[in-house]
Amino acid sequence: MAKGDYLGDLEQLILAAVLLLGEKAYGMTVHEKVEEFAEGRREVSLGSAYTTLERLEQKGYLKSWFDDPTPERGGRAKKYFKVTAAGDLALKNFDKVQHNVRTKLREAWGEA
Amino acid sequence: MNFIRLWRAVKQALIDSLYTAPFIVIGLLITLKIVHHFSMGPVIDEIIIIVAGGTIGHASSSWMSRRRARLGQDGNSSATTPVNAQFLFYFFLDTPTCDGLVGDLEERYSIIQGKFGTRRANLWYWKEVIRTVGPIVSSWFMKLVMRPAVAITAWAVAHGLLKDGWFKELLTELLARRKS
Repeated sequence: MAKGDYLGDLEQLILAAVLLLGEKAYGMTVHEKVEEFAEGRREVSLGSAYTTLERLEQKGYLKSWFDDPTPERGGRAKKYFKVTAAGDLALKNFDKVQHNVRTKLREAWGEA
Repeated sequence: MNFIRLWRAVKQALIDSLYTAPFIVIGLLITLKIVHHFSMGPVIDEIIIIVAGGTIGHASSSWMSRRRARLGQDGNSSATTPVNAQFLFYFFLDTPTCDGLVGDLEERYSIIQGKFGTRRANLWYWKEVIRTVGPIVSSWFMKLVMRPAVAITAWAVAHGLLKDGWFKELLTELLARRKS
């Protein structure tokens, strides 16, 4: 993993949420998924989710496009997101690191 | 029946007064202060106070009537959100992203309004807008302000201003303020 590939805590959650949501990944659903992951242990506002999505897009881990405007959203378009190949790789790397950490922690706690 | 209507009108007027009275009092106090400072004779001063009082009262009552128009007869609003969040976010986000974010907020607002009513939806909306503004402003600040700050610091280092000069004084002052 290159130095620039490091993902922050919220970035990991959001990238994973976008990947799991697939075609349905836009601001609100991503925010809901992150809240579901956090199970009330972490407060994430829609603003934080949006700024993180933007940052991930700038890093090249996500790509976005706009859908047609809908009346229930006051005539505003949805901004959809999709994980790129680089994002997928970053998530896999993150998963490996997490797996190693989990294994070592369970050993330390005697749960292995 | 007429008594009930009269009672409702009186009750509405009392509620309106509770909302508008502070604005009228503050407005009149400011006007009195200005008139006292730039006094143009007792008659003109009185005219200014009466006109200012009338204008503030009219502005407050028209604000209340707009508010009532937004709320329905039974106090339930239409699908309109309580604050034009787009205005708040427009400054810090590009237009398409802002539209996406405000659209998400409005979508969730209408869901909550349908489930729990307008009051709770309004409360949620205000809370979410306040929570959302913080990260967006800080991200905007980091993007727009931090980059020039880093560039200026780099330039100062290159010119040796960190060792001796106004930049060193400025940094020392800023660090001292931060510590205190």
